[in-house]
Amino acid sequence: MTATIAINNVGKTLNKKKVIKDLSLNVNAGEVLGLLGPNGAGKTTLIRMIVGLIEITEGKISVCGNDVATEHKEALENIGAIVENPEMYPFFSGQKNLEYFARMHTNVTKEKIAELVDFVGLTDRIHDKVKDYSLGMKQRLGIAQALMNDPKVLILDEPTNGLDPAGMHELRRHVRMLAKEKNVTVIVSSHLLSEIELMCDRIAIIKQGELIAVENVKEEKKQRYHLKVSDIDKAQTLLEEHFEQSSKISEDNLIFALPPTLHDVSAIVKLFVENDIAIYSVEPKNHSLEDRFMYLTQDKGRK
Amino acid sequence: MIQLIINEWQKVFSRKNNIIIMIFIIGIAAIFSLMPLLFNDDQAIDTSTYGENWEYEVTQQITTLENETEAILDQGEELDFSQSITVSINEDEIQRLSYHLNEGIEPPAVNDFYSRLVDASSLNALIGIFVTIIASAMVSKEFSMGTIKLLLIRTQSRTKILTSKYITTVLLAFFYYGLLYLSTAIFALVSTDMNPTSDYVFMTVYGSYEHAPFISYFLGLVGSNLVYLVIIATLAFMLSTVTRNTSLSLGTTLGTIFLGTGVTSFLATKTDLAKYLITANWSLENYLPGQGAFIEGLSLPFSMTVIIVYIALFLGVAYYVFNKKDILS
Repeated sequence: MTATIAINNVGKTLNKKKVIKDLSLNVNAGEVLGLLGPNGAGKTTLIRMIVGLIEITEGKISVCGNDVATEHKEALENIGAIVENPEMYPFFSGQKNLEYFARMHTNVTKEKIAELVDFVGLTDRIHDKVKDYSLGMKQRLGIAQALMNDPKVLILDEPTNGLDPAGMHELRRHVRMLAKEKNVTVIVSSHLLSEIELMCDRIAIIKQGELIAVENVKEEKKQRYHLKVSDIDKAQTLLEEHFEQSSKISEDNLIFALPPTLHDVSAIVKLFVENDIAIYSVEPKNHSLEDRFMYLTQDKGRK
Repeated sequence: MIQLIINEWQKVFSRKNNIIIMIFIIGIAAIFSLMPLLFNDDQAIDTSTYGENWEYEVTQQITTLENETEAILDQGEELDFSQSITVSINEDEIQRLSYHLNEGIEPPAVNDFYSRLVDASSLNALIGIFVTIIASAMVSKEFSMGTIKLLLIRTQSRTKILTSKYITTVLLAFFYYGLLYLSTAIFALVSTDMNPTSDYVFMTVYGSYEHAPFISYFLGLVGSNLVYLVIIATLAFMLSTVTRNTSLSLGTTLGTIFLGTGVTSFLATKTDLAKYLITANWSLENYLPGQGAFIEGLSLPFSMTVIIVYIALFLGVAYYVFNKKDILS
C-alpha cells in the first residue's frame, strides 16, 4: 500500500537559500501527523509545497497517488487545508464565505454547508460579517472551509494559534474524530509540542529545513519520576522485585517511568519507607518527548 | 467558470468603493445633464423646435442673425469684447443653419438629445479612472488580504482563476460605461428635446459641418470608448497581478491616463517611433468622421493592430507571472 502523502527527497530553494533540504516522509491513511519545529524551520514551506502554492525545487510529493506538481487538479481534489491564518473575506458573512468557496467546488450542497457549520459550532454567528469574528471563530470557519470537499487529507497549519483552551480541546476532538471515523489523514503543524501532542499519532520534528526525528507519540505516554534516596542500589533492587519495574541510575537519581496504569507512585514510596530507605525527593519529570524536542531544537541551534 | 465569475462579481459588489463609484457615475450624469437648466442659461431653456415649415423658419433665422451681425459691424467703431463674441457665434450659427438648409435636414432644438449623448463620451476618462481603481485591486487585494491561498488550494487552475478575474474586470468596465449612458439618457430625456431626424450634424476639426446617421456615429463612439476602457482595465489588471501592489498599479495607470497623450504628442515631434506607443493609438474616436488623426500617418487598422498587440502582451505577462510565482503571502 502506498502512503496517502508521500514526500520524497524534497528540497526547496527560496532566494538562493535552501529552506528545505532533502526531506522524505510518508503519512498513512487515518494517521494524524504533527509537524513540529521552531519558527522558521520550514513547516509552512513544506505545507505550501504539498498544497501546490509554491514550486517544488527538487524531489516529488504525491497525495493519494497523484503528483502535486504534474497532477495538480487530481491531487488537490483530495486536500482540504488552512495555510497559516485562516483569512476569509472580511466583508462577507461566514455563510457567504462558505457559499463562495462552495462555488469553487462541484457538488457542495446547502445542506452540506449547514452540516459543516454545525460541526464547527458556528450556527449562531454564521450570518455575521467575518470582520467581527474572533480569531478562534475564524479558525473554526477555516476548518469548515477545509472540510467542504470531503477531503482525504486535511492540512492544518498552526491551527492552535489564537485558540483558547476550550477551543483547543474542541479542535483536538474534531481532528481525532475525523481521523478515526472518516479515516482522514491529518497534518498539523505547530511550534509548541504541548499543543499538538495529544492529537497526533506521530510527530515529525523539523529543524532548519531538515527532518531530524520522527517520534511515535503513543510510546511516550509513560510518566517519568526522579527519586533521590539514601540507598539507591537497594531501592533499585526492591523496585525490580516488587513491581518488575526497571530503572536506571543517573547523578544520584533513581529514574524510572511508570505506565499510565501504575500512576500511583505512592505505593513505591511506601515500599521504600517500609524498607528503611530515606526519600529526599520524588520528582515527576516532563516526559521524554518534550526533552528530546528541546534537545533537538535548542542544542543544535547553539552550535 | 461562470461560478468563478459570480464569485468575483459578488466580491466587487460587496465592497464600499464600488457603491461610491456607482453613485458618483449617476451623480455626474445628473449634473452634466441638468446643470444647464439649473443655471437658467438662455440657450438651455430655449426649447423652440421648428414647425412644419422649418425651411422658411431657418431662412428667417439666418436673415435675423445676418442683420444683427451687420448692425454691429456697421457701427464702424472698434468692436468691444462681447460684440466680437456675438459676431463669431453668429457666423458659426449661420454656417450651421445653412448646412442644414442645403442638406435638407431639419435642425434640432438648441438642447438636443443626440448632442447630449455624444458629449457624455467626454466623461469616458472618468469611467477609465473608476475602472482603474477596481482593476488595480483585482489581484493584489487577494494577496494583501491573504485570501489568495484559499483560492489557489482548490482544484481550479491558476489560469482559470485569473481569467475569471479578467473577465469580471472587463464586464465591470462595460457595466460602469453602461450605467453612465443609461443615466445620461434618462436625464437627457427630461432635459433635452428629441431630434426631429435620424441624422446627426456635427462640426469637423476643420471647422466645416458634416452629417452622418446618428446610430452609426454613436455606435462608433461607444465602440471606441469601450476599447479605451478595455486597454486601461488590462493595463491596471496586469500591473496588479505582476506587482501585487494596489497603490503602485493604481498610480502607474492613472499616470498613463493623465500624461499619456501629452507625453506622446511631445515624443511624436522627436521620433517617428512614438506612433507605436499604446497611448498614441488608444483613442479610436480619432477615426470617427470629422476627426483628425492624432499623429500623422496613423490609420484605423494600424491602431487596432497596435492595441491587439499591447493587450496580448499585457495579458501574456500577467498570466506568465501569475502561474509562475510562489505564493508566500
